[in-house]
Amino acid sequence: MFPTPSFVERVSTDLQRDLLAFLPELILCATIVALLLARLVTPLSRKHLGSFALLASGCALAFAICFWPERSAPIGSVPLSGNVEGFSSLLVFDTFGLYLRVFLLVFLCCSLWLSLLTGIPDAEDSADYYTLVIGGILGMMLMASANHLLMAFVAVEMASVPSYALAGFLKGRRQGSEAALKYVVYGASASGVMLYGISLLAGTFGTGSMPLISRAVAVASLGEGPTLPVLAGSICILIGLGFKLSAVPFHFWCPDVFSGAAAEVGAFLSVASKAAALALTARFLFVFSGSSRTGPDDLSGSALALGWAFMAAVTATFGNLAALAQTNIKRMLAYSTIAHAGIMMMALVAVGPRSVGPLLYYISGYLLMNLGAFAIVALVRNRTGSENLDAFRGLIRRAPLLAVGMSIFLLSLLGMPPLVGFAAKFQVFAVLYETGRDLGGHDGMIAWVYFGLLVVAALNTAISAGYYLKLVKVMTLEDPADPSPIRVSIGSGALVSILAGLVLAAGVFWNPLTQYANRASQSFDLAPKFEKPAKIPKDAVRPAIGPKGKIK
Amino acid sequence: MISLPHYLTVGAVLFVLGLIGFLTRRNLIVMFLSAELMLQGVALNFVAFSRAHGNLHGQVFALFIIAVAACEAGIALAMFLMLYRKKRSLDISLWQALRDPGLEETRDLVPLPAEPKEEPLPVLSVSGIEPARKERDHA
Amino acid sequence: MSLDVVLFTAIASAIAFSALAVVFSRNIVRSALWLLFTLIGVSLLYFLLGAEFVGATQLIVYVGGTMVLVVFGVMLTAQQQFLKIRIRPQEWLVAGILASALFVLLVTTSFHLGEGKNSPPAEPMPGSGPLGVGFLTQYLLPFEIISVHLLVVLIGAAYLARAKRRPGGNRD
Repeated sequence: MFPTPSFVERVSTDLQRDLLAFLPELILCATIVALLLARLVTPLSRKHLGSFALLASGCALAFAICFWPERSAPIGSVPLSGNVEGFSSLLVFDTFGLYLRVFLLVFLCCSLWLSLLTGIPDAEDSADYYTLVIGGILGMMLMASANHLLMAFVAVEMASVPSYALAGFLKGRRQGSEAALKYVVYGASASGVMLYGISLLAGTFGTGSMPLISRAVAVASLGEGPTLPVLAGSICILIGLGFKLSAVPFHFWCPDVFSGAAAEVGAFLSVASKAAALALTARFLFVFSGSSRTGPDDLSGSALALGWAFMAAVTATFGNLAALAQTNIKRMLAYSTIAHAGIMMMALVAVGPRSVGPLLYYISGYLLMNLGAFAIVALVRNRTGSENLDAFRGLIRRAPLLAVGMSIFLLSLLGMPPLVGFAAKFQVFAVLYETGRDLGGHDGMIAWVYFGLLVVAALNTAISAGYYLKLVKVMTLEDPADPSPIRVSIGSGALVSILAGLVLAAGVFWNPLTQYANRASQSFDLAPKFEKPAKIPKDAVRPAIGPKGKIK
Repeated sequence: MISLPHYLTVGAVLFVLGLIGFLTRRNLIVMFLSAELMLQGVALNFVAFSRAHGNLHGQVFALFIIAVAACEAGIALAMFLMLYRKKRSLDISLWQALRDPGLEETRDLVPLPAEPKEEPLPVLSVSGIEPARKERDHA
Repeated sequence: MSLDVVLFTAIASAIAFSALAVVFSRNIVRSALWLLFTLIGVSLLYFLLGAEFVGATQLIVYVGGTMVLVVFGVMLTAQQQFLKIRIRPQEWLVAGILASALFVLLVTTSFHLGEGKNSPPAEPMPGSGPLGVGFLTQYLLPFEIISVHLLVVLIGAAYLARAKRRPGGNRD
């Protein structure tokens, strides 16, 4: 029963290697503990701990960048060129996960900087706020690199439970409490449903390891197709993830939570939480599609893919239509988040290296523009005390910098050409078009699904112009009710200018970011891990544009 | 002979009952108890699978579910306390301030019966002869 | 009829009954108490399945810890008449049909899963020894990381439940 010494030795060698690759996460864990202990030391107990949290996350970010495989000498001897499974294959350190790790840490730093500028946690509550934010980001980082159903479940919980508390962080406001209430109530049931799906999937295959399940699904797809438990399990898991992504019809919490919570928390939920959920969804969809197919790189032909495509189209359209009627800016941005989630889900219909690259680019661009938009909402709220459209009336006269910045972010969200939003949307559209074109030869009907999605996405861009441009018009052309200028501190100006500059720069020079994103997406190419080939007969791994209506 | 499907059925019963309770009840604590029922159903599934496959993965899942459920219980109850402090009630229909413009508040078809008033505590009338100072001292 | 069947039937029906009572009881304290019986029933099923460690953990952590927390929550807040959604019979009908459809689906799925492995394997379930080794080797990461999660949640819960010392301290 007890492990032999050689086993212990092997485990501890593996552990040393894994812990090194896990260093950024470990720094975050240490930061959480340090924040807690800081309250015990008298000189620190009244201090605002934001700068410390920012410093620590900057450290974590620096280490995470060191592990990016392009760097010639990663710390230690971690071979990170391919997929390395760590912690007895509970996590996978592949380029996709590493990219998202850097992305989430960049977001963490920006968001901590923003919180320092707007002062949403005051000195007394700062330790609690930063603990929750860092704890949430830690869960999201695990979500992005989960390789086992248990890890996926624990990571989803780690990401969502702190978010519930963050949504209600402004305890003094009834709306904040209501937001937290709605979030925790729906979130708890969604995670229950997702867990039921996980139990069916893990129970069917007798393991929680996602590569093994993926292989088993691939083998099953050559036989009689997926069994009922697998299908039901995947649907339950996708429902749980759809809730995290605020996909229609599981979106109802999103506008309420965003409008009730502080704008800083809104940025956290709309950027980081969505990115992590998309990453996990990509991994799950890849598992459900069975990793052995080598045909056009997607789930094409499967009923699940058709359902997913339909959900994506409905999500994008509904989000944009509902946003038209909003007068509260945060609520409008919430519906805009739903719409963007729909577009990003479209990219995942064709899950594979070709579509994951554009998705990662889209997520990165979305970080810049959406964080910028929420930051300006928070800054304007601090000065005017309102988050409604009226507060933005004639903003160009009161605070030219904020108005110009907001216009850039909104135009980018809309997808105007020189900005990052255009580049992102263009790449997603291009993937849809190319996949549809390539499939045209094999299967005309499936190709039309992609072309249909393309049309829906284009129409949605047109609809979204309605509300984005309305806000731009209100800010620039109308007269303010109260013409007194709004003072913008140097730090806030710097944050807005940097974000706006990056939105412009990344939109003009696509290449660097696109290259990184495409490189990161390569792990979806490598993902069929057949280094242990014993289990499957050689002919089991053959390309299949499988029988229609079946998950491959 | 009792086999895997029987245990899974008990799990399904717990899960579905939890879901029903979650969707139909509107007291926050009962909704939360229903969510716990759902988690129990899932945990039972996992242990049954663990038995069927003869490995320990399912048991590990079940243990983590217990830990995570404790976390959720902690945060949810803290939140309910906060909400209760604001409105002195745990009825979710009181929390409808956040909604789309143009959407009406959902109201009960039949108004709820008024709460029975607690019997007021007996209060001595203020009028009357003021008691002597000595009696007040040892009160 | 073997002892196995008798025990399973008795425990399963007790669980089902008390779960029904949790959901449909009109008194919140009683709901919480019925949940306690459900939890104990589930832990008995764990013992029946041979998962003694999980059963014991369920009794100690859930019944002893979480439920005490819940009962405290109930006692602190339940001071008013118990509320229940008033819905029309048609709505009950729709909800009932949906729920039974879901239930039938799940049970069908369960029996689908049971095909081919009708008899549990002869060898006993791994006991607490392998489980402990598993936690310290294969499942080390979640085992450790969940403690960070517990810490974060603890801080979050303490923040939400404590009263603000200075009223209106948040700028908003």
